[in-house]
Amino acid sequence: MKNDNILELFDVSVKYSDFILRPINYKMLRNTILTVIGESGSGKTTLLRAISYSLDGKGEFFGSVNIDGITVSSLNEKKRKALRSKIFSVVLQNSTDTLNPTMTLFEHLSEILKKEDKNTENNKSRMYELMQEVGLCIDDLRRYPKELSGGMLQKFCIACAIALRPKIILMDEPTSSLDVESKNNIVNLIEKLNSKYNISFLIVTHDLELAKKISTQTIVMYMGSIVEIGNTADIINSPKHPYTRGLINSSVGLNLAKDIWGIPTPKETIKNIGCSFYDRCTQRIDMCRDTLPKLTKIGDNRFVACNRGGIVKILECKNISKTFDKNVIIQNVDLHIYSGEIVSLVGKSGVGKTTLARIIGGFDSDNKRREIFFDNEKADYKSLHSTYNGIQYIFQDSDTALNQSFCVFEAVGEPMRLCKNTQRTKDEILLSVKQALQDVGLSTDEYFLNKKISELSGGQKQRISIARALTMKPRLLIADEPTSQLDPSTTANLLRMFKSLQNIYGFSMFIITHNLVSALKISDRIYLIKNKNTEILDLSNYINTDIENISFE
Amino acid sequence: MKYRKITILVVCFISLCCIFLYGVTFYKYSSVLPSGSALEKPNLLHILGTDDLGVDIFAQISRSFFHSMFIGLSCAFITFILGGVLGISAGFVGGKVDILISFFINIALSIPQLPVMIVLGAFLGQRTSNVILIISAFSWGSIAKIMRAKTISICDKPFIKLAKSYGGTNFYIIYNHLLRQLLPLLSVNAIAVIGSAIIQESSLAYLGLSDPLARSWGLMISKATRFNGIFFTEFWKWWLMSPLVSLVICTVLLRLLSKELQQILQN
Repeated sequence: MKNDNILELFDVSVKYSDFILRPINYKMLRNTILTVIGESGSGKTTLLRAISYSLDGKGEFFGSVNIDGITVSSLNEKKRKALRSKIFSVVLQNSTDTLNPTMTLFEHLSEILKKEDKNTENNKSRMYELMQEVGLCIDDLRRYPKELSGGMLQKFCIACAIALRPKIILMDEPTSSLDVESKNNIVNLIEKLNSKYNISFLIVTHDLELAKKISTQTIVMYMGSIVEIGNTADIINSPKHPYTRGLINSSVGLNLAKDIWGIPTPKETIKNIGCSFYDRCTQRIDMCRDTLPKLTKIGDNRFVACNRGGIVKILECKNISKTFDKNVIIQNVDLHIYSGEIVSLVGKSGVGKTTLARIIGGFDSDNKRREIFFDNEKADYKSLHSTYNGIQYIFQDSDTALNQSFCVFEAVGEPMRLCKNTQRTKDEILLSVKQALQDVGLSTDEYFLNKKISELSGGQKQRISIARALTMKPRLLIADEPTSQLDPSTTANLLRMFKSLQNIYGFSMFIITHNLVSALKISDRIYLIKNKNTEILDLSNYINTDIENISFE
Repeated sequence: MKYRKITILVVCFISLCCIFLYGVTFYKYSSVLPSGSALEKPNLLHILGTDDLGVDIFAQISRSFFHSMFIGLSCAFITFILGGVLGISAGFVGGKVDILISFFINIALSIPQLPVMIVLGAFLGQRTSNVILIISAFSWGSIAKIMRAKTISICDKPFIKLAKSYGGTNFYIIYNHLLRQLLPLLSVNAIAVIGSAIIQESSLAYLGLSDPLARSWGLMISKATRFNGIFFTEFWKWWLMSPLVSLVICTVLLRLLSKELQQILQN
């Protein structure tokens, strides 16, 4: 019986003195291209080396690996060697290092081909075939590795890898050091080999664009464990693990209009025995500190390792309608916001943006019984507004959102003074106020703290409003036209500040704006409000770029 | 200098107070008993002359000033409390309370003041306390209306909504947010009441509805004008003009002061 899976991993784990690859179970279907993505040091290469049994001496291997139904891990090295290139072959990251500088390409290839057939003539014609296959000239066979460019060498390594028609090729960062054109060539080559010869590929990369382009399946790894598995398109379009989303948000290629922001590195690492992403996660709960998340199925061919079941839906609204004097403003609006996400609401003036925002923010009521859920519970705005980690709202006009006769300290510290469930001393409030002011880029000295709000400029007032909201450490921050009254430079600073604060503290944001372009810069998703309802704006319909086709010559 | 005007006004007012204070303390003539011959021209002894009974006019004016100021301040205090409390309650609580208070405010504002004052004055009797009550009864309405409107406009502002959302109690909001913005306005209006109360008291006194034993500018004017043929003599120059000018200076100063204060507090 032929096995459907080309690759099966059973509890594969590797132990180094300072790194552990946690047990991995995975089955890879034939003829698929699988990418393993993750930051440097996430264990991608270790996994690849474990599968190909080419770990360096210090690593201890556990578990078993089946390739094409053969348990490779239980064979001895001699038998395994015989299988290499025939059933599986490996293309490592620095291809130049794997080639012998004193041998010509011809010699390299013939060494591999001899494994199967000693006939030189047959091998020669096979060599020509291979060189053409990967897009190299036959003349290049006479050359030495140092005479070739990086892209050519990579191609040659692929030629070596496919020489004996293996079932699966394991590749480590195949395109990392290549220019755009060579990269495209490699991608095309991989796709061709996959479709023409049914070769499966396991590609380790940190390049999400490559993963998106080439693979059908993706594994996301972090600190030696798998955090998410799924179809590549699903993973890129709707990541379920905060780490995956962080990776996507950091990818230049996937965010052409949006600013890129890396996953923030924690100032201090918290030692924990639970989730490895704990100290960088923005939706962590106490449970995550000591419970190791298990990879659980959350959908069709979709697995995520998160104690909270993936990225949490922080807010969900169903069927929101609002009428003013028989005028229907919005009707049956559904909307959701995930944790740690910036969502914008755009639309013309007067279409009900602010109305919708106020309903969501709890400052207005809709026609029907509210169907708004915050963190999967019915939203109780009274407590969400007045407690930490709730919802905070930044009104459009900071002039009226602040009592002009208050001083800065009074204004920013007001919610903390009024907060019922956690009483704070004056010193603690002062500390938090200073922190919030620092976060929004305002002065924290005594003089400024005692300054009257009425003496501040428009931009400063806006920042004070934001600082005040931040002191409550909201999980959802709603901002109504935060930049409408500001000049371009202040707007730019403010938007970047929002995004950087969001990146650090991980709250979700809902921004109402009529400025689509600035929304594009910072939003993860954009809702367009039109005809009394909202629709998700798919930017790929509007933004067409042809950057990849720019010729460097 | 930012506060130049108001400083000048305050200095003027204080000087006025000092002058009149001198008139009731170290000045050697009584404000009720005759101290010279009748209708003396202003001279070194009687600086503003005497009236038909030989009572010193400067002494009378000084005494009247404090009488008027007492009435003015009392009325201002009553209207401050009454207008403030009712206006803010109406604006803040809203609903039925607002309807009820607004109803009374409108009544207070729509009644013709002087005729009713005269009737009330005659009915209640000529006592200073009655005068204060009558004037206050007609002054609180406009202040309450202003306070109500301002309260509603402030309560509509986002910062009040936010303060409520943070869990601020009604007391907190009134004390910390409303009063801070309303007190200046309320004080300014109350100060304006002092001036108008003085004029109203004079009007009542002129009509003989004020306390006849107390000294008052209105009463002096009334007495002087009732003197037969005063305009054919030159007595009016000191007997009538002195209380009149004092009244004008005093009310104008108070009015300017309140206007200036308002401007300062608004900025």
